[in-house]
Amino acid sequence: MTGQNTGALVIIALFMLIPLAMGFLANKKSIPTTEDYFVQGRSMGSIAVFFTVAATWWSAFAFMGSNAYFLTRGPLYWTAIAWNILFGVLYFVVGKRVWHFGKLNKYITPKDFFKHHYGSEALGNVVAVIMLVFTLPYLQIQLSGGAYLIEVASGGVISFPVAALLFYLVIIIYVWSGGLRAVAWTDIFYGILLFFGMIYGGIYIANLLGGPSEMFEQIRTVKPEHLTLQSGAWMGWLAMFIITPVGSFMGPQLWTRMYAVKSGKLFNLMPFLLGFAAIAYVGSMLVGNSGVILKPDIAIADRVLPEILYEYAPFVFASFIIACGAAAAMSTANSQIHAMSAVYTVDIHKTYINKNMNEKSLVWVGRWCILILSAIAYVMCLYATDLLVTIGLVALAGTAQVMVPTCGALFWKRSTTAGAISGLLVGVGLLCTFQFVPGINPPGPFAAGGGGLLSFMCNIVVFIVVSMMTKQRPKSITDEIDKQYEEFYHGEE
Amino acid sequence: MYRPKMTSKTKIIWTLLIIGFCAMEFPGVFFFKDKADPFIFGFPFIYGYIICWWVFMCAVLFIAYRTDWGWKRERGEKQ
Repeated sequence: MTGQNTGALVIIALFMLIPLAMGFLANKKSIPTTEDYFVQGRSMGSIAVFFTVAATWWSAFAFMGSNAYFLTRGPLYWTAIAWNILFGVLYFVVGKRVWHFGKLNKYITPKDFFKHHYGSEALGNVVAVIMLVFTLPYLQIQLSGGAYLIEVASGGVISFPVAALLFYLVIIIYVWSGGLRAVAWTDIFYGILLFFGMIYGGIYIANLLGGPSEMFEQIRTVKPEHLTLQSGAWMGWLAMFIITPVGSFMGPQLWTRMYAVKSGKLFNLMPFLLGFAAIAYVGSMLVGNSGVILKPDIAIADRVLPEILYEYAPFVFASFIIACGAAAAMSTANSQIHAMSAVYTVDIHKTYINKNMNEKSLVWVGRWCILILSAIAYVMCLYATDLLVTIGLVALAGTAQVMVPTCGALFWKRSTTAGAISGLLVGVGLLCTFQFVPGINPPGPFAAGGGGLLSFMCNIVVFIVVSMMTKQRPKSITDEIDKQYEEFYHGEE
Repeated sequence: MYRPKMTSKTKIIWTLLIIGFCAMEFPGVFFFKDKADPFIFGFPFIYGYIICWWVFMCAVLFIAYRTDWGWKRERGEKQ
């Protein structure tokens, strides 16, 4: 390892130590109750909400996976600008309603919402299992992304498994210590790093080739087809536009960020803030396209950003941008681990294993859960070889299925438990079949990257048809929801 | 389910958003997919085209925020 590699690792380590200190400070403010540990006592302020949502939403998928997609598939990932805006709109339309019901009925996990709106424990359990199973691969890509960065920064001296292990250890230490408050505080720090790191990294790399226009002119000479969408890309373009924001929005980490908000007014502003922040993708777009000229034969496309930086930029600057990438992975991983532990602790442990456990002991169960779930994700990242975005899209297509019963509960009185469960089982079943059964591919145009979208559409159809054929939800439930809806439209925010 | 009637401002906001999403998702991928020219803001056509719609969408979302998404919220009174 050269002196520069050591210096690079010290800079990255410093960026990891700052949030660690924040975690310990947050711990001093915490109260040992599940409501405080998992949803910060529903008192999260506007700045913290924006940054924690943005930093959780933008992950290694966005910071590193996007570069790889721009490098290997041209403008396909550019649909991300639209899906970021859609994500913001979902946060207003669905998120504000979920927040309202969560506040009135003291929900802590997504299951609480389904149990209350459908009156069904079984549906709540199906949702909890889907969230746990499909969030794991998404957590795994954060560890992989972080490990790639550390591996490249160390000049290959720290191997991928050791790098992932280091990443894993830092995350669990500070999530363990401070709960959601620690995660939100660190996300403010990470969110700022991430936004400026993405944009500035892209501009710097494009300038190595004479600026964006000159860089694209060079691509026109060596690979003109890279400037336009590839043939048949439309299905991937549309599928990613729908599945990515919906799947991410339905992840347990985002549910926690709906419940924890103090004031409803913030939801009105979030679509603008999140949509505006989408411009940071210009940075990824410039990095990926520059890679066509600077790194045409790269072996692992997900490593294009750190490899270009360490080859062409001063190491201090390169390490700073890499620390931003680590921030992207870390800020999502911490939120996911934390939210998954809430799902297990409240929905499974408290309900089925030890009903009489006191609040303090439950927080400890949550902490052990953090340790175990992260360990599973660590083992998974050692064996995955696909692009980060490819793995991420499968995970998101799984959690996206939960959007159907969520919208059913909020907007359609006729929706039923049977419809919700059947839709979810069909959607998830189809997704797993397309993904894991050899020889079975989505039919027709869906074969070109639309398996997740097709399973989502089938979920909607089954949900509607079965709901129409089965008995409506009890009147007592729908009346109560109606009453709470009136407060939503006319009460204080 | 209880839902108050949409105001005309709300309808306009949602119409503009839907137009924006459709413009970002369909023309680029179906009609302009082979076009690299003209470059817009120094980027190939598809990139510049989407950035133009991003500006439009941000403007609509900001107006939506400023107008409370078109709702005339009268505290304690039904609309």
